[in-house]
Amino acid sequence: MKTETAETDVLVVGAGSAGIMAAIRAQDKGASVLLITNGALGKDSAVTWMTGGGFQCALYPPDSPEVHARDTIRNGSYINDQELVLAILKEGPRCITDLYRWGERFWKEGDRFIQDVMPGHSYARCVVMEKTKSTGEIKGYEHRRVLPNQVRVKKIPLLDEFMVTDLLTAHGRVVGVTGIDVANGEFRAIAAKTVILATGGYAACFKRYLTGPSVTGWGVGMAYRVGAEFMDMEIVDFYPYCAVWPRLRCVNIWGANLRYGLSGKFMNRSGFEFFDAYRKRGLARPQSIYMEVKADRGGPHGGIYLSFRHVPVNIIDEYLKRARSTIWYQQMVESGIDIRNEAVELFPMAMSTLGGIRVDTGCRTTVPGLYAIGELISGFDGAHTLAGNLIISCFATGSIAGEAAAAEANRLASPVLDEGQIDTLRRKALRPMEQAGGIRPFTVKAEIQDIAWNHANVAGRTKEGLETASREIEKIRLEKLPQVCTSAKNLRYNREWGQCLEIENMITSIEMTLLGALTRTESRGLHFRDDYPHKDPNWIKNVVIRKEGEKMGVDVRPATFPYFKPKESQEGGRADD
Amino acid sequence: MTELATVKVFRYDRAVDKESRYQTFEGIPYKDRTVLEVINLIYEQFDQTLSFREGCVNGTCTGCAMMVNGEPVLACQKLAEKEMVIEPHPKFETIKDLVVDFDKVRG
Repeated sequence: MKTETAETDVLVVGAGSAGIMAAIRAQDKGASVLLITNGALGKDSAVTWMTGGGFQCALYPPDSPEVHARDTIRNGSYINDQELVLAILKEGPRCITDLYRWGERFWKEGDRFIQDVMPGHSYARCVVMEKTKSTGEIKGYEHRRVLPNQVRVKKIPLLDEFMVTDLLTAHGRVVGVTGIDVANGEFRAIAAKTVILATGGYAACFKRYLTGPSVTGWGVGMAYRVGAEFMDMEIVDFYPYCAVWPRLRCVNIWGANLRYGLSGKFMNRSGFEFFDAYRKRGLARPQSIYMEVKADRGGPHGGIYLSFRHVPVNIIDEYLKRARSTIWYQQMVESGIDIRNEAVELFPMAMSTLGGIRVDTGCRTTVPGLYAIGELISGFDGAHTLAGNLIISCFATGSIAGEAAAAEANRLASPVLDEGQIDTLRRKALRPMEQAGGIRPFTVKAEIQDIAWNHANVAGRTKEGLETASREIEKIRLEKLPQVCTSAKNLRYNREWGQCLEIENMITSIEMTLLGALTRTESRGLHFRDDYPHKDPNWIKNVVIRKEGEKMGVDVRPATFPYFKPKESQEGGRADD
Repeated sequence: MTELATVKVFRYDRAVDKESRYQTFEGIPYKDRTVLEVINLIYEQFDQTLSFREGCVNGTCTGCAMMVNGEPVLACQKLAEKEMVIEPHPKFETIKDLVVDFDKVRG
């Protein structure tokens, strides 16, 4: 059977903010484009649809991309790629202007966008929505209203419900992708002169996470297999304000509603407000909560307390009245908790992965023909993300890569696909469906998530724990991965099939996180080693990982400082929200 | 003793079925779970041929829009009940089980 193939100049995998922006830019430059998402456009698990209020962009003097870059790099503890940071932040204003033109309802007075201050930023540079005029609102709704519509308006060729499984290569260059049509189970190869990966991070590889469940490092695994370089994979951001009691599995973030909506106070079991003590040690909030709970000073549900006793009852009641239609309110009522008198419990959960594929200022990976954008890249945030910086980096990298890929494709002839390679990848993708008996994928997924959660959390990392975790993950790769298979063999909308195929990517993502964490024998930003609890000035370095034969090769490279040099007093400055 | 739910789920495949049917699952733990979690549990433990969309599981993407006991809901934002009839969203054409074609609004 011959595999059906299509061809395009620029192929974009992933239709969140980064992917859609890349597709628009590439098409505007005259390239033929194909945009792929694994779900329905705008209704997939792109993290963009759930972004909060932060949306930073330096627009007017005295602020500038340079000042924004300085804030970002200082906060990232100087392991950022300074050239990349500046390239991204310079691209930001153009993205904001275009989003406004496409219909995002930012607050504008005259021809000036109104901006608000967020922690860690030297100037007020957070773009605000017209309606709420506050930084606290969810901007994801607005992105979801506008971006998928732009794909339709601009008639960007779209392949939805298509699960990309692997990258195709020829003579060391990426020349397309393979994947499975979710709607009919058909395996297909698509040729492309350039491929842009915009598949997001891998936060869902941890037991408790905030993203959609399919954010499991699809692009990480694919890019690794074709030899791309990764950087600082040990840096994972955990959102500190996630409710563990009352337990609300669907919207773990509801603790943040209370945190910001009602100005709760954090305290431990003795009623002590513990954050200051940790702040003095330079630790981030998720780390502080983690350590306080591990020191057995948390609540019975494994979290830290958030109390509202200091807030007058009529203020609380007024707040709850406004929140009545939300599910967390309903669940709160059902659980019987009265927040006027009782504290809720919070614990951090995995939110975004700051390490990723190493790219240059044109978002090119180390593999020719392959670009990476959005959460999938490394080098922008460094060791700690600055509030509201992630989303602008998604739009800006999409913008940069879309144009760079279109320009490159313009110079290239049509690629020739290797039928033998397609056949090998087809057999690999179909194996879980053809194998009769084996291991169910969701049990293996849960094992990986447990290992990552227990040993590669926001704190509590040790040599011993990381080595144990590495051995356990290796065992899963060798013994269980070849055995995972679907129990139902229906070709249409078979969820288990996708789960079988994502396991390899989860394993790769977590293996790199563990190896990075083992290699970085210090504590910096969101990476905390219990056995190396201090920041080491000799460790202003990047941990680079790539596939070497069948092994994972690791390399430590000093960071460079073309614009901003670390200062003793600044190094370690970190902003909390 | 854990309370258990009875869940009736709409089953249909546009490609092969002439008519839809309902499949009943009994003895499903539902307390403190959302409708989407109950569907996931049925899928993992009872019937792996069941198709549905999961999306962001945060109440923003609307990928899990469906009908529960005759009301349109986001399955990830709705707490499960002891007796449930779960159907695809009637505004769109059904592709398979609870998966609808968001591009095809019913006339």
